[in-house]
Amino acid sequence: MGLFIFTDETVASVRSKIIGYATTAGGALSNWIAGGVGFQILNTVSMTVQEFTQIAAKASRAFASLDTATDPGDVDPYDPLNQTYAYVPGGLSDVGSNFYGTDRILATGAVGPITFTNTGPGNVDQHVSAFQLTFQRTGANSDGSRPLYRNSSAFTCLANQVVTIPIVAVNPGTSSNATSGQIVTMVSTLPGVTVSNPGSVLGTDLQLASDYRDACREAASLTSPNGPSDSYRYLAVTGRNDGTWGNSTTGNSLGITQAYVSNDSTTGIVAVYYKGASGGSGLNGAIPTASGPFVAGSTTYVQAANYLITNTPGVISVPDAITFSGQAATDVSVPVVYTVKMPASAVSGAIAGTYTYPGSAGTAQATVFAAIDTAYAAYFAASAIGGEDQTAGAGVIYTEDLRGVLYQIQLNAGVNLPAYGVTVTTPAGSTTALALGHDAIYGGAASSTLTFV
Amino acid sequence: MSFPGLIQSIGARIAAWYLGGKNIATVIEAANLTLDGAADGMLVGMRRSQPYRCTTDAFADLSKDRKIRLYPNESEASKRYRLAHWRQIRRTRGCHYGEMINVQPFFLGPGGATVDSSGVSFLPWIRVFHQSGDPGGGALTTCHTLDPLGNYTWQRSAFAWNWDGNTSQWSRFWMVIYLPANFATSFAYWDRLGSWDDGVSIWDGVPSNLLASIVQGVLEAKAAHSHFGGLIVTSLQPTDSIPGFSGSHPFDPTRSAWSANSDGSTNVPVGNWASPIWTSGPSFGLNSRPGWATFYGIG
Repeated sequence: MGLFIFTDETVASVRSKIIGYATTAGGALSNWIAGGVGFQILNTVSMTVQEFTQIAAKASRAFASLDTATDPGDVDPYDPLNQTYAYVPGGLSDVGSNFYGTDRILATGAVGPITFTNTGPGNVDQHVSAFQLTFQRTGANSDGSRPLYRNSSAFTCLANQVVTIPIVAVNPGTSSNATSGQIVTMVSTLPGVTVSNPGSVLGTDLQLASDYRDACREAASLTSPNGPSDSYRYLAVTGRNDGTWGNSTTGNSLGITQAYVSNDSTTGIVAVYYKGASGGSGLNGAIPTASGPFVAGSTTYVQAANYLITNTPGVISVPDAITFSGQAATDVSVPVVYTVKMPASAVSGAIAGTYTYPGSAGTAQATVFAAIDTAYAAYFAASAIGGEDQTAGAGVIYTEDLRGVLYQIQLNAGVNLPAYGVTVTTPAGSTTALALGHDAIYGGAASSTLTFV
Repeated sequence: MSFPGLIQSIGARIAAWYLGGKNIATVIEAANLTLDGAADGMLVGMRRSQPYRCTTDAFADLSKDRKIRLYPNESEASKRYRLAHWRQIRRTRGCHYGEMINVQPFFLGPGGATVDSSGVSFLPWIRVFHQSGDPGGGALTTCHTLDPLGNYTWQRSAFAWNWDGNTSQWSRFWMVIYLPANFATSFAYWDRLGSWDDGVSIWDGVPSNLLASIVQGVLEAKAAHSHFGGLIVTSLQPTDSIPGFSGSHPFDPTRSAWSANSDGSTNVPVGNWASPIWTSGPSFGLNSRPGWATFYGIG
């Protein structure tokens, strides 16, 4: 939405507006002396007014809606420079915390263990203060940087002993994450001592603006204790592997992206089906890392979600006397066979010709086929359990929608490839039926063809 | 709060004594007018978060942020009211009070008025009859009432509501809307001519698309564990007498005995929701429902 009240004015547009008003009021403003006092006053005033319009537009965006509000560092369609700033709480966080009672989850520095082995020749007892030592990861990030870490507690490592202490990354965010054994370098050395991290060192990124906006919108979903569908859905999709939910900052998401809730019952039974980004069946697996009420390697994602819905302290999602049943959605594989054409000039390295999926590795056609795979995976991940046009939870996937995906393939962000001559021959019919609790997942694109013209 | 021209007038006052030249004074005033425009734009923008002050094109954002679904046949006044009362509406979702407060604003008058110039309420009485269901035959019915002033009461009904004949099923409910007098001017009893559902209105009274929106509003607000059986709309008021039955009131929860109407229809829960005409039994071919109400089955 490009409302003028959200858009910054330029100095030129402000100057033009002032001259327009003044001329209408009878001012003779047609013969400026370049550099003259009047000219300078006009320019100075125009710049001042333009600054004010920026503030006005920013304030409008901050208050109007969650979608128009941003924090510094977020993508802002009205202000391209905004994403270049470092994050600090701004308009979006203000609206979220003040109006929706929801704080944005900040980036946290990666934390984990590191083991000191003090067995070198001539070793002596080592007494170390908190944050005295600096370590570095072996692997570099895509920008070439190698994250740094510091010991977060004081310790003593006696001669010929091994001690494990916690470390924390200097810079917050997942870019400082390290897998086991990646941190073996001490920037500040200790004679006779070697180090290595025996476990993962993990941090979190700043909550995405889109996720934060969703959290704000959902914040009121649990305000009713009467068992509306929203309550079931909210606990499932915000559940975390340490038994927390909602806007929790601890643990990790259970990865449940959708929950279908039967909103009609004459038996007292409420049935809920879950799916994750890659379907439902994976949710029957055990959570590898868990805490709180959940047992790592034993509690399944479905069991965890069911627990949160039925046992969360202080929350009434399932009213008394109601029988709740939560289960993973049944995956229904939907293979897609398509043909698509596009100009060879639109894809770097493309050579005219017709190619069969998946294309030879490293070729332009393989790149496009992979992008199509990604697009279909995203389409099916976002599709509703039970599909479209549901009756009692059973609906369809439209083949025409699958064809439409092929017009939205991107190799560069925001630029669709110019596809044409697009057909989808599988599924053969106009729709693919999905039963109650069934979820369509991408079944691959074997036999599909791509033609560079 | 609004202050169009404020900066312009202040500027004119303080600038006049030292910027008396016509052209420069005009420029300064024009600049101040531009500032006024920007300030006003800021005000308009900030008011987009205020349902009672925003322009209607802000409804979509408010609906998305507050998770209040808006309906195509809902009046502007209702949209503003429901968006402003989103916390109350979401807080009470899942109970019959929540269902009723979600649809009662549909009837708000122009500008959100609750009464017309004669003091007659635009808002309807609403009742919900909830049957607990019991395979053993002990089904109970509670009646929940929201009056035009917003007062909510409930009571155990003297009869076990059974319009669908499925007394073994749990948590079924039916909503009754008593159309306010100033709404019902266009309402007519079923004239028994032509089709009872002509596709535009149902029983020649209430626009079917309005009923569809109300039904969706109830479905949105109901509990996951309940079943919405149907919507009944009547131009009679709770205290009115049923035509031909003096002293009997429409859908009166205190009434314990029900009987057939003189025209062969019944005003009672009779387990014949699926058909407006009796297809068997002693009333074969006669109307199964009273002509003074509109019935919208959900299933």
